Amino acid sequence: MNWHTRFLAIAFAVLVLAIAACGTDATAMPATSDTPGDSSTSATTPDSAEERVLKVAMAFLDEPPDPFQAGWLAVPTGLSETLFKQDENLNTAPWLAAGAVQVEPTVWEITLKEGVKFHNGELMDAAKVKGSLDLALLRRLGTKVLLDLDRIEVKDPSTVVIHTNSPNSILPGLLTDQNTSIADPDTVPTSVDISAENSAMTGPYKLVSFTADQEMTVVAHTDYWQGTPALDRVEYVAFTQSATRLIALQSGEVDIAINLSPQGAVVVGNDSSLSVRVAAPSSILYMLVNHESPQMQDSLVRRAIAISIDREAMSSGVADGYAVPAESIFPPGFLSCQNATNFSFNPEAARELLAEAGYKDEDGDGIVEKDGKAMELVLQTYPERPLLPPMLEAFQSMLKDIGVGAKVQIVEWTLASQGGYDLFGYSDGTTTTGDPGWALNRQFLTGGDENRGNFSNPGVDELIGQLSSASDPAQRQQIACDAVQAGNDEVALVPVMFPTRLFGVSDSVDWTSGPQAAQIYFIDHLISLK
Amino acid sequence: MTLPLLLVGISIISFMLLNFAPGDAAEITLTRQNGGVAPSQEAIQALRQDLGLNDALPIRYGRWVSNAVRGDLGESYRTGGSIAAELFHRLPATLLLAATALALAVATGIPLGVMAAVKRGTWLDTGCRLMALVGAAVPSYVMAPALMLLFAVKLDWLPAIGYGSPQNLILPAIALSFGTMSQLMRLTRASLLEVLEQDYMRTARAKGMTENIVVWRHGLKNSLLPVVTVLGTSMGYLLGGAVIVETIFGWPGIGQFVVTGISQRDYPVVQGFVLYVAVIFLFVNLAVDVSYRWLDPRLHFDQRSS
Repeated sequence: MNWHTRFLAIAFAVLVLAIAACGTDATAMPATSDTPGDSSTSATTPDSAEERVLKVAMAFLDEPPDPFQAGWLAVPTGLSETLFKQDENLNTAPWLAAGAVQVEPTVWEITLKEGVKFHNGELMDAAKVKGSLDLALLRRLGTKVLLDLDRIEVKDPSTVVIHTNSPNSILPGLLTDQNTSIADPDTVPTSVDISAENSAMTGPYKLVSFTADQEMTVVAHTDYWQGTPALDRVEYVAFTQSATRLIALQSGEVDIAINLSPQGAVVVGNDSSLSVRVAAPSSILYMLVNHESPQMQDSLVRRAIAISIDREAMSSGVADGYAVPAESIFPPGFLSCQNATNFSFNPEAARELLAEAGYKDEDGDGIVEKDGKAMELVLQTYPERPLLPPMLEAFQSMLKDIGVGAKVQIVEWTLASQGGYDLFGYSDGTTTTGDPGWALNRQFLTGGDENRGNFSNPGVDELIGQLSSASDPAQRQQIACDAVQAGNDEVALVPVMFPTRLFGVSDSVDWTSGPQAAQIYFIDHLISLK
Repeated sequence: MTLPLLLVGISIISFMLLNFAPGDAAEITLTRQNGGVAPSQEAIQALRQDLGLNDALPIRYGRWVSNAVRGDLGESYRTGGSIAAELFHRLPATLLLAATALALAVATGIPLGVMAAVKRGTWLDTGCRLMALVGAAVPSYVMAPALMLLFAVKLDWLPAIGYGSPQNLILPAIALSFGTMSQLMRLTRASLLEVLEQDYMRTARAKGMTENIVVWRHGLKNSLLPVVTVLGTSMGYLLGGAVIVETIFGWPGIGQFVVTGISQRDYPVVQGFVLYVAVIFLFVNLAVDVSYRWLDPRLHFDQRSS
């Protein structure tokens, strides 16, 4: 045997032996770190035969589960809870609160549930809730703006009294915001610059370790007010790539993979040991309209663009069926008036609208012109939402069909506020508080937080303003319907589709309770392993 | 003298490019801190003042360089943490992956290259060159998931994810080493073929040396110069964090850190990373240049005679 054949044989043998010796006994979880600023506290312990451990692959673990800054992480992972939450129908329901009464237009009395214990064993009472809410307002400007509170008082050990700066009939809905989670204020760091993830919260699980962008481990809170959690420990790992989360699920190294792509959901659906769980949509993919762009000033042009989109094709093609077409900023069923067909797909009518606006294809190149200038739109979006870039590419093609040229640019999401585009592909939640006023204030109101295209219409503003004093639910629905219609008439923005949130789940998981329609409640005390 | 000039040039270029990119770092930072609430212009201007973003570019650059020389690469706009500390914290993971990948590439690429050269024209040579073609053509972001699917899902031989044990290292190292391995293999083959045609090789055979000694002791060493050059640039690339492989496997190294910094417009992180990679490249190539003298004594003699 000559040397090269010998080399090949030895190399092959070594490779086989190495792989055989390694095996796949366990996936070593990342070791925690002692680096300053790292919030990990102890090493994860290996599984034992008696421990019930759930492993979850997430997209992001980039910030610690601070109940006031990162409620988006603390609440879904079972660490913290809010006074109110959204039920399966996106209605506001009590959670840590037992109920709420609006005693005056600017005064709410909220009674608390009894027997709720923080992770440190302390009982939750009105003083602790007041302290927690005060800290939430102090530590996050967004919360302060959202709630717009004057002060919080303690009426008795079970009742807090919240005074708002202006009449607010939807305060309980606003208190579903995840950054209003309740934590024992005595365990929150005094300095606002120090993260509060190690503070005592009320959820079924409590934090053991956290390493940014890598892992988070939580263990059961055995004194949980709704009963001992069914799991001993939950281990979260972070992979920004949805393909990695999918592969980890397929290989059995995680039990749940969240935020799968539609293509990944198809793969999971074909695997008999896995299943796809779908949370009903509540966020929307849409096109922000830059109302300061010269080409977008004409409402005929905006309407032509809005009706050039084949939303069925978007949902079935771009989202592989895991989305619902959107002709309003609210998902079907959220408002009582969801029969509007404001933006039905009609390319012929779109071309007529463009002609009416003075755009004609005079040189026969397929692109309309006006005053000798071809119509070319700048479409921008950001890559963090996987469906947005392909949605824009499909949109570009649909615009071409009506004679409008467009170029697609992938940029940083904050550029949505800085102009430089005609339309910006964006994603946002619109049902977060269960009340339409929240989204209307953000999206349609002049100067709204998410009104990044600078839409402004006095009639729409007036309608939205009426919501602040309307307390009757039916009246609020009607006003909201009128405001949505008025906004759609002006084409404030161009809704496209409501994507569903996709979870890949191993058949070893017993998860009859979820995922919730509100998409923001994920790990509860009931989820278990078979 | 060249080394410091190169460092200055690279740092200037990276500093200028990032500062001309669209997006206001102060607004981005405040928007995140405010939980998505758009900050007021006053707040933006105040933060710009605090961060020194309103100062002239030369002043900002000078300030940054002055800090960098003392090991202070600034603080992340996103986390507020020390960038140097974060890079240092993540460096072991990247070093481990890079060193393993390089060792794998060298251990397989060079012997395969020798084999392909010695057995030129045979099926062994064709097979090696085909493997090199695959390694050059298939990008790591395709190779990595393919390896995971094959070895973790289909065969269930290795874990797809995780960090901290030897088996977690195998798939990322293979994915990372494949491109370098194919490059080394092709280069070794070409270089050795040229050396094998030299007169002194014929002389060695004529003196009765075995083919193994002729190839490995005389041929290989003399053909390693271009290979070592590639090794140097490969090491620099690998130590740069192998961004794609680290992101796909969730490997907690520097590459993963910088990807987040880029997507979040965290300018200090990107600047710090570019400087770090530049330093790595320069010093590795310096080591490569030094190694030339050992590989080719003629270089040493040439310098003496001049």
